[in-house]
Amino acid sequence: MDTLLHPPPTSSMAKRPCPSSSQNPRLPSHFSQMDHLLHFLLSLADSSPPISLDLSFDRLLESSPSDAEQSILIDRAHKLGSLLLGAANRSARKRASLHNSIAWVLPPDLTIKVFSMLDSQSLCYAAATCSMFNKCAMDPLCYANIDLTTVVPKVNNAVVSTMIQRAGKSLQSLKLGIVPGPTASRGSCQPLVYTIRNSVDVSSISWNDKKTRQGKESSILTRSCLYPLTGDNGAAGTLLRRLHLYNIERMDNASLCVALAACPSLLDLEIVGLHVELRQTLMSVSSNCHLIERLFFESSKTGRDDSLKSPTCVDLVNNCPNLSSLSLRGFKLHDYKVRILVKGFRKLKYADFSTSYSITGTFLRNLGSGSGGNLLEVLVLRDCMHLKEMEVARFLTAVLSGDFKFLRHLDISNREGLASEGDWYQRSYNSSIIPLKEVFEVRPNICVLAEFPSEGSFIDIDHMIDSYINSDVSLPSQLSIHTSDGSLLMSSSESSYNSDQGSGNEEYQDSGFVIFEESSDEVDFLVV
Amino acid sequence: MSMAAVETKKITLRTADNHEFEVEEAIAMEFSTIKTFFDENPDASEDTIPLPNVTSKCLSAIIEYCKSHLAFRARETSSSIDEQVRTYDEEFVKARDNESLKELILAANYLNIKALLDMLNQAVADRIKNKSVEYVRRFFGLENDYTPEEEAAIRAENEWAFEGVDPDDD
Repeated sequence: MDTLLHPPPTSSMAKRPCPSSSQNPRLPSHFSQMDHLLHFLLSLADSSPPISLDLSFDRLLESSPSDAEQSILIDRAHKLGSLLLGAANRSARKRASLHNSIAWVLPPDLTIKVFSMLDSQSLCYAAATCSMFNKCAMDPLCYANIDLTTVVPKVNNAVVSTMIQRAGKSLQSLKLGIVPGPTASRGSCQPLVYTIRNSVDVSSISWNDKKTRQGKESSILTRSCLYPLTGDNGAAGTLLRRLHLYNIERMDNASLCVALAACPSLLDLEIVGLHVELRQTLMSVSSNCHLIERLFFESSKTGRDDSLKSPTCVDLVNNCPNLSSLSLRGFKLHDYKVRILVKGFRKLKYADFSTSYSITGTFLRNLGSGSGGNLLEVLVLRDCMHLKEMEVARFLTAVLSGDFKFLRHLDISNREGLASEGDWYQRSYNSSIIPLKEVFEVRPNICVLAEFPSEGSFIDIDHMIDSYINSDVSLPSQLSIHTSDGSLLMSSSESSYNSDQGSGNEEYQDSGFVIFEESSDEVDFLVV
Repeated sequence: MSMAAVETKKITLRTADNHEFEVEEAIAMEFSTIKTFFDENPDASEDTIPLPNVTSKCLSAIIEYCKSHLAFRARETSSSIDEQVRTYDEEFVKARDNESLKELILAANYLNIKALLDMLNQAVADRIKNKSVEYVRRFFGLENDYTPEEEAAIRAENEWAFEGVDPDDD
């Protein structure tokens, strides 16, 4: 090697200007020559007066005979430099790790307990701070409650899969999908269904951003995103208690049913804005999730999912006796089917059929006294277009006479008032037949929400309907309705009520009611 | 000397720094470690129990906590009581720095006081929640011991969590 200096063979330092700190007479005796050399070299890093290493290097270069020799020198300087740098970094990291283990006094098991209380995103941040946290963050307990819901699509199948695998048997709760951020709420029945159309509510995201995200394959959850639940003989899904899925565009019936089949311990299922059929989903729940206690479905096709059939209701009621909370929002439901559900679930306390089409409220008749229905504590029927004020009145009369002893919350608010007795499109905004005052007196602990828009801010619908009839246009595929702040809202046929058949209950009306009463026994008989 | 009908039994505890604390039996029984000890050695109640892993500062705080919570529980449950409990818990942790929180966790773990332990763990978790990586490091006095490649790999693996967040953001 080219000699810059002749290293002293002994441990004593050469007589060169060295900072006192490296006057080290006591280097260990087993130090090799290389060790001494390195020691000396390092001391040059901050010696005073400063030794100009680069001047020496320049002199070396100048004195070397050929260009090739010079390249070799430079090359070696690089190599040496990077060797030293690598060694220094490695040691710095080791010391950092050691420092961390001293600074953080909690043993791993307690750290893991803390991490298990973090949301999934914060957990990722913790893992990125240092290797000690990373190790703790890999523990299955940290993944017991996986919440990967985001405001815009960010999560893909791989992320879900990794987390489910890490959770293993500890997985208890899984939430996935797109949930719109908090917006100014316009009432408790704010839809959680989010499509790019509603995206104007997501104020901070620009339209262009959304378009590029739509095409960004890597950030999309596909229909097989729940597949890891079934993997490993369904180990992950076996103990899963809670599954919430929001607006996963690509989810379909088959994949959802396969996932539900892997979750026999499911207690709480919430499905919002998925393009799945109600009947098939309920059948899958019926076959697989016998312990279920809470079902919350919000349709992605407001009013157009008409798939629910009576046998499905009967099966559900027979196979899932523990259900205490049932929400079916935005589906086309018929009274007799709802009645099967409400009467059949013996433990039902919470029922929400907001934004349902077709139900008129007859399912509430004679419900409070017998089995099923009388444990009801909360009943929400917001914005049910065909809900009749007559049925509400009947229901409240029953409440006044002592039925529904446990009822504490009733919501019959409706943006468009309640349906009058005759034609459903005659609306009533300020019903005199509903005994609200008496209810407040006799049962003061019941909270009744009955928000109807104030009269006068609405067009008289009678006149409007007449003119429609006269002009031979088929009924309200387009309904102009003044909203309460005075702006005109034209509802397009897509989101308007599928009202060409009226409530769909017409065939059951009048004579139908009589039949209904008589057959109610039959219905009860089917319920075990 | 007449005493009240029921004489409250006192247990003596000695901390690591040799302070002795006399606590009512009811409070000492909140410490599952001690309760188990007494269940197994019923005649040891007169002795002083050594707690080599607990400092006096920690123990006095813990005793305060257990006293207050016992008092809360003695009252009827209601939402206003729950509110008061929550406020008390918040105040209990608010002023404490990370070091003392961690010390308390270790002590609560050693004494096996489940409710206190859960509450303290949650408090630490809350301090970590929704904070940037650099903030968490600084806050807890941790150093980054990743190679640049390792750190990049971790961030890439959880891209969804880091997307759109400035790494130096506080």
